[in-house]
Amino acid sequence: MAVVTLQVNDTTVAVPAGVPLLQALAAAGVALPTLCHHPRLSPVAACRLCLVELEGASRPLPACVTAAAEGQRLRTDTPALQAGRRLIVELLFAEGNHPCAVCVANGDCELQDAARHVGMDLVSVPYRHPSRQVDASHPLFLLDHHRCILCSRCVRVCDEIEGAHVWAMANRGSATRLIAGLDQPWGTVDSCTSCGKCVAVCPTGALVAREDVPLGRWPTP
Amino acid sequence: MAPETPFPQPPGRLIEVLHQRQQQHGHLSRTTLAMVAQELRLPPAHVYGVASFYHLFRLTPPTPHRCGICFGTACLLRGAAALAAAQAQRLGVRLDDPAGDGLWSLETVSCLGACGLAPVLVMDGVPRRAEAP
Repeated sequence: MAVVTLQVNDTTVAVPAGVPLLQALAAAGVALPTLCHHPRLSPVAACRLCLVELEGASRPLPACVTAAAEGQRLRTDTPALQAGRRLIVELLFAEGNHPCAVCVANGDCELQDAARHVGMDLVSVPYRHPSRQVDASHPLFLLDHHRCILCSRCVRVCDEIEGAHVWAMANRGSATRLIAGLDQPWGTVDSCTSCGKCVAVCPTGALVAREDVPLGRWPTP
Repeated sequence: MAPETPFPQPPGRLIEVLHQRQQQHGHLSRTTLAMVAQELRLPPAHVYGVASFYHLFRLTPPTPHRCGICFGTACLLRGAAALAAAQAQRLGVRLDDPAGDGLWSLETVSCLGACGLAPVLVMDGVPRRAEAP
């Protein structure tokens, strides 16, 4: 495979031609937060956290879906990118209900990691405090919509790897939410194989295993 | 029976089939969506996701009578917002509440292409010119 050399923040790296720029960033030792990206799943470039500036490009490009090519020069840390990245994380926190202190994923949460990465010490936009539900109908797992950031990793892993197609996104805009089957309780979806892949790829505490939740807090169906 | 239409092959024909079923039943119930999923061999979640994404698909039964007010640019310029408010007061229903009062519901619709009639009011599917209050 052809190898291309490119520059990441003035560091020269060599990667196979055509691989996503994220791979070049990794080679250069630059870690950007990512939420919708998962190396085993198809990319959707939805979270926009991995936006980078490519010399000659008219706008910032998502590193997860932009192909590496010879001679590219990219920057990952310009003030505009940093401000945008922080605002995205702030908006994610304001959009759902994310009280880390009482979350089972506290300390093992990619949203929290992203907030730490961008140095979020304050959310500058008003919180929406949406009214959402918890689905505790599955015997092994729990779904807490309050903590869902709609990254669609669970939708993709169930579709592309498990092939069970349990999940989808319903509605649109700010009403978008994750649904199981025909918007029914997760535990009643016949096609669910209880494989737990969706729980494994969930970046936040939206999908969790019952065994990870302190006993007695949730009813068992 | 609905006339045979040359649908594209699945999954591309999903939206066409949903339109057809909504025309037959007035809305798309869970049962209908489950049947469509089975027929087209698509995941039920995907079918529900598509049906709930588009405003033109109704997932709950419509009221017997429906009044639509066009909120396209031409209609808005000629007082569609005021017309909607007056109509809501007259019918005693809230705008864009699909349940309405059980008999009537009032909804906003996008441009119907009848801008010459602006502001346009749609009464049970029939567009007509309305006088802005």
